[in-house]
Amino acid sequence: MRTMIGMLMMAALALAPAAFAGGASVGDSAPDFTLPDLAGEQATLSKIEGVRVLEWVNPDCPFVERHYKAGTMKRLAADYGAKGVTWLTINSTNYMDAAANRKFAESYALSQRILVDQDGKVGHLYGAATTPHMFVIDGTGKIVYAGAIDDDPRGTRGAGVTNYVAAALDELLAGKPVSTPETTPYGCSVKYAK
Amino acid sequence: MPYTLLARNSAPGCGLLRVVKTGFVHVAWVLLGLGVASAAEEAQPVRARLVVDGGRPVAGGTLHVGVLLEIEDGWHIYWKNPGDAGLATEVRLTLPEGLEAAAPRWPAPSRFTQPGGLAGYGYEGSLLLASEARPAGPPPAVGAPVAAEVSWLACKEVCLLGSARLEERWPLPTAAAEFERWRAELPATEPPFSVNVTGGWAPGARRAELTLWLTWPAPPGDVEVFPEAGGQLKLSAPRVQSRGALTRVDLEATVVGSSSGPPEGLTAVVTAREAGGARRAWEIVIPFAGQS
Repeated sequence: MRTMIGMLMMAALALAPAAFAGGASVGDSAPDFTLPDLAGEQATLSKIEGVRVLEWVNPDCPFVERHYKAGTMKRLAADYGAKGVTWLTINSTNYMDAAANRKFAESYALSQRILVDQDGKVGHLYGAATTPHMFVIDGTGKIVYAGAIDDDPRGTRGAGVTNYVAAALDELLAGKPVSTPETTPYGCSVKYAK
Repeated sequence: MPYTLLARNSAPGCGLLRVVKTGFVHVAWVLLGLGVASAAEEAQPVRARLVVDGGRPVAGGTLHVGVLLEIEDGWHIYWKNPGDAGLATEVRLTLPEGLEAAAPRWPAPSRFTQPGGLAGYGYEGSLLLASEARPAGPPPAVGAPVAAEVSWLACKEVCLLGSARLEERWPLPTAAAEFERWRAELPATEPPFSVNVTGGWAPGARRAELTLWLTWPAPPGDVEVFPEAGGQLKLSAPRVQSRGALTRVDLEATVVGSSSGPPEGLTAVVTAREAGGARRAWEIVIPFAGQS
């Protein structure tokens, strides 16, 4: 009798929807979006050719701050920019408008394009969870890497750190498959609008 | 396990109590940016100290040594799996000559939902992260050095990285009430429910949808599931539904990094409330064998 009740219950629970929250996964086509940059111009992902990197940012987050003080993102954006890669820094922090982002860009003298996503729409579209959270999109529009910037969350390792984004871009630009397509991102939670 | 037993006698110290809070440095950087560096010391929302449970450091006795982290209201720090974002709290103990530390044991965490529906697992109020200290030779001498390296990420509307190097002399102050609470919140090993797993990895797939079915002897209250994230798996926050004495847990697991296939299983902590309202916790191992 007990087993039967159990099985009936299982059937009842099985009817409940099991869908997971959205987000973009490795192997998917990168969802298209349009966001304003700091010059007020609209940036549309699908109109940008070649390899693209999406970086979720919040300058108030200590993990982001550490990477910006070390120049990690700025250097990668410049180095790979010279090889035709477009680096898009997206800020989904609910309290950071264009002016706040401009201040951030000026304080680090950044030249990569910064996109303002204050309502978090694009963050949710990609399932961006942390700052930083990185996505690499190949020339055909497919997501080929999603996850952490590197394997050193605490920034204490010194030598021997693997930068996953640089590794993915190197492989991609050499025409090879990305050997580490997904990692667990680390950092502060994206401060989405409530 | 983010845990290492540091070399003994590495931190002799020079006073009875010496605490060096390198966390101030991080806080100061943040505050310098805001132009309010003078408030640096007050801004640290977590205070850490070394404590013992009052047990005896002799053969046949049991003694626990831990770091008690006291967290300011409104802030939280993270469990070994921080959830969708965050960073695990880390404690490294250096015990005096005559004691050996086992791996630290974590009390069951709480789940908090961060804006945007991001799940976090961790602690508010306080966290005691303690290890059994096993006798290894004669009991430690009075005045022998004890040290701990502690680091954490504390979040409220913003997050602050903090760390501390604690240096004390044996014997440590006792914190009996905190250890009593710690014991009550440690996951037990023999759960009252049975576990069945459905779903799994298709051959060659990195991503799998798994469903756990927990069958209880009586309808449970407020069931929560906290998976331990290994280096090889990225896990979605479990969705938990209970009806009667059956609980269904859905989670999405993705093999990450350069590993070629899924691990053999997954450890998770399950918590539920008893009729009286007290929360109980169990640790289970979910095998993936035969799930391919």
